[in-house]
Amino acid sequence: MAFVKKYNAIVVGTGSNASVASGGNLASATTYVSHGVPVCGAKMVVFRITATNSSQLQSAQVNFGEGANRNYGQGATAPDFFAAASVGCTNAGNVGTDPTKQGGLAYSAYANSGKFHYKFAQIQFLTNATTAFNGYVINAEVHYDTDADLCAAECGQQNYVMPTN
Amino acid sequence: MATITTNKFRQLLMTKNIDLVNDSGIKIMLFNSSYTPDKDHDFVSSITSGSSKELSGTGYTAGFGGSGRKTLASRAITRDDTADKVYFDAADVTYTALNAGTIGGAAIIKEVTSDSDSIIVAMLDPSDLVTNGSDVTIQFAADGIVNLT
Repeated sequence: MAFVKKYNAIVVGTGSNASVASGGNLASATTYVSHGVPVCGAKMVVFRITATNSSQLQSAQVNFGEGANRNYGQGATAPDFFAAASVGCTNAGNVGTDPTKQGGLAYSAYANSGKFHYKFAQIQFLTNATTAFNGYVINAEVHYDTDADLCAAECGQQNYVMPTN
Repeated sequence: MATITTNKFRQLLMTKNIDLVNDSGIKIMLFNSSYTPDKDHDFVSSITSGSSKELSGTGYTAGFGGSGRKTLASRAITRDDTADKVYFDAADVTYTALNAGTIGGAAIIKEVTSDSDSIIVAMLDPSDLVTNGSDVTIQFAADGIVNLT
């Protein structure tokens, strides 16, 4: 059975922006990245950013990574099994151009092969050139085809046991 | 299939032309499920010539000197008088974030100058493993990688 796993109030949180907490304000004209959410085995991830004032993102992208430091940023260089696609972001007329409305600004990525193989995904975005994001909240939805996909994703390590002599 | 050693390796062993502990270039490589281990296969080119059957993909760079071929560390020879065998062992090997299709098995090799003169020591052929982007640890058996009984 397909289902969605939700991650609410994701903190903006690596590098120089680590002190910015969900629900606070995001300064204008600044690049932020979110904490990662587990996506291995999922078919789609959607990040949503809402705010209490009306503003728009300048740009956004979904990054994928893994390992101890997760090595985010591979989204732009590993298009073999996923495609990042914007849903409403900064394009006027699309759903979600106003972060105060339900759904907020959404950015999603789909697994071309059917399942993500990277362990984590984060959203990286550049806030509007002139307007802060007040009272922002980032949520994520990770869509799986089956329960088994989620279980496999959370197993993580694989062992390849060699035969006894 | 269990582990097999190649005829070439055994010949080199008896003529004192290979030392699994002290020689450089003793590595592990992974092959896909299209390859069938064969004791008559002397060199790595038996696996890689033509349509290569070496694993290839994210987390595994195939080819001579490629990062997919990992040098075996902590190599040792152990004599077991109880089980009456001598075995070669090394530390387990981990591939990070491996997403390279199906692993059919592993070969212990000695890289020299190219695949054409790099020796296949042994082939380990457990059940296939479908990689999924997670780390994959190659866990050698408690009684080592290769033994002589």
